[in-house]
Amino acid sequence: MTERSGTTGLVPPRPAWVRSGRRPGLRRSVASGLLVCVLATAPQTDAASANAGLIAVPVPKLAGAEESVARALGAARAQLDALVARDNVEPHELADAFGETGLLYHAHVAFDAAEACYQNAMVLAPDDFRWPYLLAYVHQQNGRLEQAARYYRKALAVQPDHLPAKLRLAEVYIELEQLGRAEPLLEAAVSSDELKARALSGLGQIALARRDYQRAATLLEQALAAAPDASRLHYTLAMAYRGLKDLERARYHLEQRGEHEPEIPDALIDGLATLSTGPHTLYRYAMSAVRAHRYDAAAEAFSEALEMEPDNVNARVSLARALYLAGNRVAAEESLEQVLTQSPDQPLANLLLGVMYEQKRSPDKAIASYRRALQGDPAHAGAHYHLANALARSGRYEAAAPHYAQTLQQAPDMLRARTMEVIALIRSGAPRAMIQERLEAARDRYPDNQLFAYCLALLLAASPQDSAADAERALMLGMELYEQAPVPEHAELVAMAYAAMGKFEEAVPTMETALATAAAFQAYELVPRLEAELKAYRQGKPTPGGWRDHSPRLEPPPTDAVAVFRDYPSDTPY
Amino acid sequence: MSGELYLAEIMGAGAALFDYDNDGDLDVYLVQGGMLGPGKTLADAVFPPPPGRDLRDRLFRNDLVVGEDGERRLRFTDVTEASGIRAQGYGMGVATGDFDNDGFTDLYVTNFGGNQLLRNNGDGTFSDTTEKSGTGDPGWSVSAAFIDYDRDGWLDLYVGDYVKLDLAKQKHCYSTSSALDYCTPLVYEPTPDRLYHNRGDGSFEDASDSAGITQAFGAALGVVVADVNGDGWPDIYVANDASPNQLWINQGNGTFRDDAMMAGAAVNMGGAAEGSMGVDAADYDSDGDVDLFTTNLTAETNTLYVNDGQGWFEDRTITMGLAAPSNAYTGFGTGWYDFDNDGWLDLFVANGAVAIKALSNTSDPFPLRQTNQLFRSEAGRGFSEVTADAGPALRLSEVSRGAAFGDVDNDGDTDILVTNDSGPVHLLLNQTGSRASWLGLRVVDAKGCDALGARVEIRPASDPPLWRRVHTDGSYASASDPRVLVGLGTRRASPTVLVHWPDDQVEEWRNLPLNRYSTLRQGEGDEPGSREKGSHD
Repeated sequence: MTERSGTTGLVPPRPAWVRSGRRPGLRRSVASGLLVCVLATAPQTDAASANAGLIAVPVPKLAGAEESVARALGAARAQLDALVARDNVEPHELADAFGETGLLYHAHVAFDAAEACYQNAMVLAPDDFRWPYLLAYVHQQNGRLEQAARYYRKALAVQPDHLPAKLRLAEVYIELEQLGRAEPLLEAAVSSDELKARALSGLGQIALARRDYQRAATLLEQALAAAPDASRLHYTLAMAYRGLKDLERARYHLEQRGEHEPEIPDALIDGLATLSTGPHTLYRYAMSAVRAHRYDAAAEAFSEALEMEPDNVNARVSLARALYLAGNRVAAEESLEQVLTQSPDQPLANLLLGVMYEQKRSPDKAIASYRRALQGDPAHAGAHYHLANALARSGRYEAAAPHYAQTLQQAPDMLRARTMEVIALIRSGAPRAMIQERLEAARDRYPDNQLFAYCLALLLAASPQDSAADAERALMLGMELYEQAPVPEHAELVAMAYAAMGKFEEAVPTMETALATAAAFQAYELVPRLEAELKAYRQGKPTPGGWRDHSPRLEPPPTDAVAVFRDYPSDTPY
Repeated sequence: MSGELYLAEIMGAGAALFDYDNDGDLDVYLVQGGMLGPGKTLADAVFPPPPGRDLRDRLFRNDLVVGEDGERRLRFTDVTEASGIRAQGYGMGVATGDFDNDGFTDLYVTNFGGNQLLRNNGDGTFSDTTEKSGTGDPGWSVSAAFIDYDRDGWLDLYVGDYVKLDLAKQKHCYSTSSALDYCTPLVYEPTPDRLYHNRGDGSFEDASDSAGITQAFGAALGVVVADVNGDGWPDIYVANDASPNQLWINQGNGTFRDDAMMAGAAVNMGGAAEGSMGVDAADYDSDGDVDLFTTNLTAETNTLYVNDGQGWFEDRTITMGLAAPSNAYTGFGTGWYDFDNDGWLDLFVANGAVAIKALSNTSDPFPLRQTNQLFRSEAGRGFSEVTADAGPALRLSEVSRGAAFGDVDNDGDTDILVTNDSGPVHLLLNQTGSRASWLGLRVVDAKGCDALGARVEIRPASDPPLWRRVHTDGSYASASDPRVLVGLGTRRASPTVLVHWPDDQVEEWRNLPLNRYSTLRQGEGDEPGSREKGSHD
């Protein structure tokens, strides 16, 4: 990264790519003499002469912009004005000055000023690809598609082999419903490994628009193969398969759908973000990089911003996340430790550190971290959930259950937490009434969930409060479950319900079925229990053993540290 | 506008066109915001209101006078005081419907804060029946729609809820310019919508969980009710801001299932969730099914979802010519209406930006103004923008939000009431449609209540049928005229009209007079195909 203007007040030195845009071997014509003469009578850019074809560059109102941004833009403008006022300035030098000032304006979304700068740069250096290209991009960002197309074409006239420009023009043509003009441009871009996925995606969308679903599916599969992380492609592919009436494939792809689209690696456009000055523009860039899964770039931007705002603990947590996801776990941990020296109870930092400790198989340290997170935010759903899981893994179900309950207060749709709460309550010996209440609530929310139905039926059959009604309900649930999935546990459940009703003449053959099914499923671990139950039923005795032992052998899922670092929502990422 | 860039300040408000006094013309209800923020008063407002004006919703009675020569004099009278309406919440939107089946249209006002159900007493006054009804919904609601989802004859209520906004914990968001700006909704937590089931006794029960609509939700802004799969049960389409939309398919048993993703109506063709604000549903291509349209952010294009007849959709925005013209705008209120009465549904979009974003050289403290747009249907094969030809009213550049549609001067063409954020309301009077033949229908059930959800099939002599819905919902935070206004172009013969009632009955009317409004009451039509019979004003 080049030095930032935020500290020196100077315009940043031009990155190499800015220098590279001019077509090699170009020499300016005699017209430059006339140009200088005209400009000498108009020292300020806002008095640019119509004869020279230059336009006035508006001065953006900088009120509200960060001080470092205002300083940088002000300094750049002053430099430009000074250059314009000089005599004998080479046109390409002036063009570069307009262009680079335009870039700075563009990076800070002073679009009007950027547009004017690029226009002037284009007039002064008509063979420089950069200026019409960037001008086209400004128009595209503002939805002015006809103008965008015009300037992309102009740029391509200068540099016909610029594939990103072809691709962007193609995308503009698609929105302008000029699909025929878009196609050859996209086909050209397919030749580039970097742009292939995006180009194929565009071709696929054209095929979809024409309802050529087979072609769309073929192209989009190729796009996905070229960019497996481009999760948004799954949607368009799903629509193609839907058009082909292949609903199974369509559903599969819809389940994979995400928001990440194939990228257009483009040094010129990507470089805009690096011109942003001031911490908040850096944060925005960092978050944008995070969303694009460019964690190295995100970490770099967070680091730079933190040099200006070292006390921003939220940003430092985000830095830690970016570092972790970029593979730099040591630096991530150091960053989190630094946060905790500033803010010991910072909830997210403690949560993330806890997750790291779990990865290092230090469950006690992890538990301590989660507890500290809860000191900072007693309602923190993530801390409650991970703490509950850590406690459950170490067999401390009684301690785990209330934390699952707290998780559900904040995140009532978290099925895993609801499942584990039930399991924890069962295993910890919680009162039957409490467990039943939880199960009934779970069934209301998830009426099709087999586990909740199973646990409820188990409870009713093996520990009937109101014997007749409970056992009948257990029987009904058990039969439904068996019909959905004829596994030995469900057959056992039905037998238990019959036994609870005193109907041993039904319980016996049902249990025999359970045993046969266990053999067929090779679930030999169930056999001793089933045989003991069968023996009891043959003697007209109730189900032996505690019902809690029948409960599903579920453990908390392993902590997916990457998912937590990547996906845990943060209200204030900086 | 407090100057604190609270998100709520940029999102409202809507308006309603409805006939509150049943005198045959459309009255106006305007929703009003206020000052937000602890300790803030009107003196702190960035755009102070005129002195002596308190900020509250207002009801204006239409005192339309039609002279013997046909000349129309349109005048509105502020009857807010007389109406007894005290809506002083931070207003967002309004829905209209006769929830108690007494023949008078009621109002449901959505707020940032508790909503209000205002019962029309039938004597020019309204009563706040929120508490009794149980429809207060304390969150931040924007659009709502009355819907008889269980077809029991009582209007239920769907309320679109936006996000959790706590003014005491204001988030500070910055644009790429580094200046403070309005936050995007992604910064906040979305809240589930509500479905209130009408018990028929003035009260409602919250059926949101049991109906299944809390299983999926986003930051809801637009709500429209229509039977998209032709099974006779009304479905609900919810336009969400920055997250996939929901298409709640009515299962016919009190529950709904979200089919938006597989149906192709959740995101755009490219798979991107859009910042959807306004929405409408209509059969724009006259193929007998209901299509959907959403308005979205700048650089996203609005989106047209074309129904395949079975309740699945394709994004045809580009091929129908609606992509490029909308790219530079942020759309809010919208509606499919036949503005030139040629029989084809045209499209109006109210535009206005939501983010200051760019550093500009203007001193405008609220640089979000955009012009609205009008798109003419090319016989259902596409749309062309005709904004430039639509007169000076379409050249206004403001921060538009709500749009309510209806024939305010009863001259046979659809007018538009446009609300603006920190700006005046505008009533755009259509000067064109009434030059063509038209048929005006007020479609009511046996009790005389607007038959929301009924479908009207208009069969011209030698042309394919036209389909229209009886509805007041759609657009953004607004409610429109429930009457059906059908453009007939140059046709002079009265078409056959069939009404498909919400209870699956179908009745037919013939020889209805053109160029005037007729009332079609359930039970007074003929069996389809039987002898002609008509009922008219």
